[in-house]
Amino acid sequence: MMEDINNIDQLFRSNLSSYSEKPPEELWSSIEKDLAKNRKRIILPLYFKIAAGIIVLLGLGTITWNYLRVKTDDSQVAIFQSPSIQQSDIKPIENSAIVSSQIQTEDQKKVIATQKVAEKKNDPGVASQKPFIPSSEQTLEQSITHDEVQMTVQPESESTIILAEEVVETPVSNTTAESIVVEEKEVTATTKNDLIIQQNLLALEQEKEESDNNPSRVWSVGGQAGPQYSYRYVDVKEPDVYLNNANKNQYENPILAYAGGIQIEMEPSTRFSIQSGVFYSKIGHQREYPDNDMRGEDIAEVFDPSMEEVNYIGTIAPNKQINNFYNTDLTNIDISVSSVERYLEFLEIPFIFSYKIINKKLDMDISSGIWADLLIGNKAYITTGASNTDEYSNKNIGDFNCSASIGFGLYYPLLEKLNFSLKPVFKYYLSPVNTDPATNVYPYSFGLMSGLRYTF
Amino acid sequence: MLYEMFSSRMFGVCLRYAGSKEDAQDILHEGFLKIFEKIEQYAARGSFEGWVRKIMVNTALEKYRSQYRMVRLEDEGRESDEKNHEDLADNITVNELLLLIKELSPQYRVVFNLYAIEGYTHKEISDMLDISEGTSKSNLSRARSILQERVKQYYNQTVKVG
Repeated sequence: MMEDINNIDQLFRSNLSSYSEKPPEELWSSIEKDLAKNRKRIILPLYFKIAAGIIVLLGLGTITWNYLRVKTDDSQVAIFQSPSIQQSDIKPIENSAIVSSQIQTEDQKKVIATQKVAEKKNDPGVASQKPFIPSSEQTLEQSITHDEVQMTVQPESESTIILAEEVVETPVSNTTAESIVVEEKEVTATTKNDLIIQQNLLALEQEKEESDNNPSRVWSVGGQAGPQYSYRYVDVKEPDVYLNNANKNQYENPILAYAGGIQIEMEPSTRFSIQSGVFYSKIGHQREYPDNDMRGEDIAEVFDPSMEEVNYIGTIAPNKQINNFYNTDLTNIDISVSSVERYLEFLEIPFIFSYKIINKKLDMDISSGIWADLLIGNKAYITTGASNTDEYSNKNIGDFNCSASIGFGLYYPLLEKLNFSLKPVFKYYLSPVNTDPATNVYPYSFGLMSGLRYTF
Repeated sequence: MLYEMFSSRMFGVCLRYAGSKEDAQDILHEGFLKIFEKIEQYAARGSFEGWVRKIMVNTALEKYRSQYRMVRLEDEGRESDEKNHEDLADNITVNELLLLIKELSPQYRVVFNLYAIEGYTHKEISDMLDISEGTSKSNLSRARSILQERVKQYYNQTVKVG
């Protein structure tokens, strides 16, 4: 029997291995035509790569420019450099009354304060007592609420300063007029320059107060979890024409798994933050075998512990002994391997940079990071027949890996210091997970993490 | 010229793998396009003809895979896809062998070609076709038993005729 088998191989090999037959004449001209076409096509992808590179650089440049611009705005101090004072540059203080002044007499340096009316007293006597009697020594209280003041100073003449706003007409001489209550402190503003200096000092003070209330470093802690859709990229190391990527990528499918963890975040400035933490991640891929009808003898052969199923992400090795299915009556047995699922589980520590692109009620940031990954789980599930599933493990998987991520973060405030977070993220392994010398397998995943973040 | 040197031999390879003459021509066409594109990658490892042949067989496998995907293998199809009535120049035995190979169902044919004629191991075949080694082995043994049967029938017939 064996002899016959060898003879069959030998018979075909000796006769067919160097068999030659002339192909049709027209075949060469059609090959030539396609060769000429292909040469033109190669040039185009190069242009695409250059264009993509330019777009990436423009994008990075825009982000950097925006960051620098915002930083300048944040740290800007109101400095008045011209007689024309823009009151809107002054930082706001709460609980302040508006002070604006209007000079009624052109001859004098007069500052008349008019205010948001807090109280109206129908006290003719009061009016004359109010410090609105124009005088060059007049003291003014100036606390300015940003929202209510839009004052511009337009010098009518050198000696006058007009701060115009909601003017409440105060006929000083009219004793029956309503008087206006001055609520605030008084600021000396005898000259135009003095006024400018005073306003600058106020602005600086306000800025300091604000920074005291809002420390530059903000810490947050949070948790998140969610599904991730994972697959892998296979790269053939040896330039063997058979082990090409199209072949490797053709039969396997992505798999839905999950990830989650806790995260600590530090914001050194308003827009930037650094994150780390500890995460768990499960990835893998799946392979179905719809066409392989394996009969009993094949099952016994394949799942014999001495044999292993080889695949790109590693060899599946049985964790346990498989009973020999071998049966004399094989024709009635129709056992088929319906699917193989492979999973790898990692413990991961990230180092992520984030940049906030929207800083309002709904925050949004873009983040990118590097992860250190430790393999903590390794499983393969082989399903035979309708539903019988056996557990195996994947061999030749490395213990340590490195991956990179890029994603968005959306944050919605639930309470004062508690945010709800939603983060779509793309993760890609930078090092291959398998130790097979012939191929490199790089898993990647698309995940949607949701969770909570507490700021303190 | 490369095509002139290798086209006949490579067409012979294509005919072994293809289900029909048209398929064999398609494989030859695609194979030579690849050879010309990848010619710079040939790193002078092993023989040049071996490298050319590898590309041709790989192209044949791609064709097999694309057809195999579209038409599910029902079972051991023993009917040939096309009766080759063309009068081939060389000896009849070779033509007959080619016919017998063509009669095999695609999966048995490709495994038999790769193992018995190209000389690949089951492990390599399982990688190339993305099947298990067990499937490769069982396909080979089935292909062999079918071919054995057919060769026996052929010799019996010729003996009867002759």
